[in-house]
Amino acid sequence: MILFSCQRDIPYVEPFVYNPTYVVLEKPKGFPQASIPADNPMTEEGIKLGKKLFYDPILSGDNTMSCADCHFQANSFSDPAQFSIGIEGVLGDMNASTIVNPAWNTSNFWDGRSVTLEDQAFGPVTSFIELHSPSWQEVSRKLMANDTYKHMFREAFNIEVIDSNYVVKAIAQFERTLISADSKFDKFLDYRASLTPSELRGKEIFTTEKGDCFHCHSYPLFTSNDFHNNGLDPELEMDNGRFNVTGDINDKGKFKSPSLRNIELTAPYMHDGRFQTLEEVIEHYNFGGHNSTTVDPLMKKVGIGLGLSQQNKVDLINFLKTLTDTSFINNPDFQP
Amino acid sequence: MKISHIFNLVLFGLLLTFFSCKEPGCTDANSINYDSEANEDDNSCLYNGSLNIEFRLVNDNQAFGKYDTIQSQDYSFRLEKIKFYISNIQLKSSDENKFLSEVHLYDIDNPNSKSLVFDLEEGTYDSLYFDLGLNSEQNSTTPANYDVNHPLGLNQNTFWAMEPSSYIFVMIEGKMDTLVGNDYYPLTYHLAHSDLLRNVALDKPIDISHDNPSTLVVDVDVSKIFDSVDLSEDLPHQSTNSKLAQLLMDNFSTTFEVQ
Repeated sequence: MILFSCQRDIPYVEPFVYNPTYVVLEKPKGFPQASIPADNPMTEEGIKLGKKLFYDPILSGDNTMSCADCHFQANSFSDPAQFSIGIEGVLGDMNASTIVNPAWNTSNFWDGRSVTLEDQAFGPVTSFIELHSPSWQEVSRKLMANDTYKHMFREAFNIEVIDSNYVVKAIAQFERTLISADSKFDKFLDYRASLTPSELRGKEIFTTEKGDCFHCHSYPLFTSNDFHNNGLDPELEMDNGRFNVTGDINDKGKFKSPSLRNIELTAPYMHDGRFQTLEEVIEHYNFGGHNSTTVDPLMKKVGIGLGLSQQNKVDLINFLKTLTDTSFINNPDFQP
Repeated sequence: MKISHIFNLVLFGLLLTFFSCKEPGCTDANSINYDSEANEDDNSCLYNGSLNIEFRLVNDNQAFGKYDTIQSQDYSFRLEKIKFYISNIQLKSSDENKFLSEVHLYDIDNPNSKSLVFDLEEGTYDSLYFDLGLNSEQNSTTPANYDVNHPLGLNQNTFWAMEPSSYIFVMIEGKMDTLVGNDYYPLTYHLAHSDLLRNVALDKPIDISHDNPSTLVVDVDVSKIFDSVDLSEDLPHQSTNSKLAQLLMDNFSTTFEVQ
């Protein structure tokens, strides 16, 4: 009796069974089915983990900054600052892009240097001007020291050792859920809302040669996912843009056209955040932009200007504001 | 006892003779109509050959690429983007039409779009036929109906979504110089309207044989695109079937030539 009373009970541990809940991404009206990488199917566990990582400063070198510190939901996951400031106090050189409907992206970053969302998520974590973790090994070490993360990665990916590939996969899964397709304009197309006369006039300007916006900002994404030089600068003052990726001199000054969904909330505008207001943006196009060897052929009134009246500009901006999706910026599923 | 043995042997012989009858058919397992029951080849085997159709931009018989310039007496045009749809692609002969594909999008930026490969039965044909553009049924769909990378899918950026919606049959973008001010200016032609569909028939003997893959090289002579086009006319995005749009489509339909 004494002998047995000294034996400790061996705790029973339930064997782990990997059984994730797969998720089919919502396909909004007017959208095609998004293409999901075969090696990163979406699961409830993966999305939940990705959201936690997105909001957790553990990914930064000094545990003070997360992805969400440059991508605010209230701003359609963009940064209202012209340039974001990293943990070292270093100012970035590009405006943090909006993250809206990224499941349909064909490239990421202003210069499109990352094709997939997974690849995109690698960059900021170790970037000197952003989260600046010393290495991905260090990030993995911190996550492995956290029992909650160990559990969540096991649930999401059936892994015991956390490495960077699974961190970016989880973040990408969460980002793919960031769908915005319930703006006033969407409701209008679905006969659930009416546009004002001014908004309708603005729509006409947007969708015709008068404003010529639709070529690069086409429905339903309001981006062509393509690269354009929209005449921001003359030949000798252009930023490199896409040239940095392709090395093709014909790509100099070209940047990915951003989605205009929630454009009202994503100031400042352009890759370098040079314009503070939509009025300034419209004024740039109304001026026509600068001619150069790489200015896009779609900038058909370059050096001439669109000739929009003051009322035209007001109408166009009113239309752009119909692309605001309040359900997106208030969606509790996207909050920490 | 002996009689019954003899009877059994005769019966067995008759059955053996009966069941060993020759079964004619195609006995080549590599053929597309291989008959596993056949034990005598009757020369009925059919084989698939392959046809590769290559599209090649040329300018007066010289290879032409992105950012190259078309020079004429009246203008020069520096090409930056070209896309065009062909649909209802067929091989035709006097007694048979062989359907190849419903739709294909040529895109100068997509190397995979510059050739089409088909596996099809052996045969001899007289011409390659296709429509330049999309038929009304295809043109009534939207990218939401397709995989994003389908020729009619969202990633092609060829759909004009606003009313009246249409796919852009031919997209030409670049910079034009009318040799007046020697100052290049952006020029785009987006030809999008169901009435702009054109038929293209290219006569060429085409022999599809299983032991010799066939290749058709289709040249697209860009120098013909602007024939008789008034370059001063402002027609950047054409969603109607105006005279100029029709002229451009007529011109484009004559750019194809089989080598």
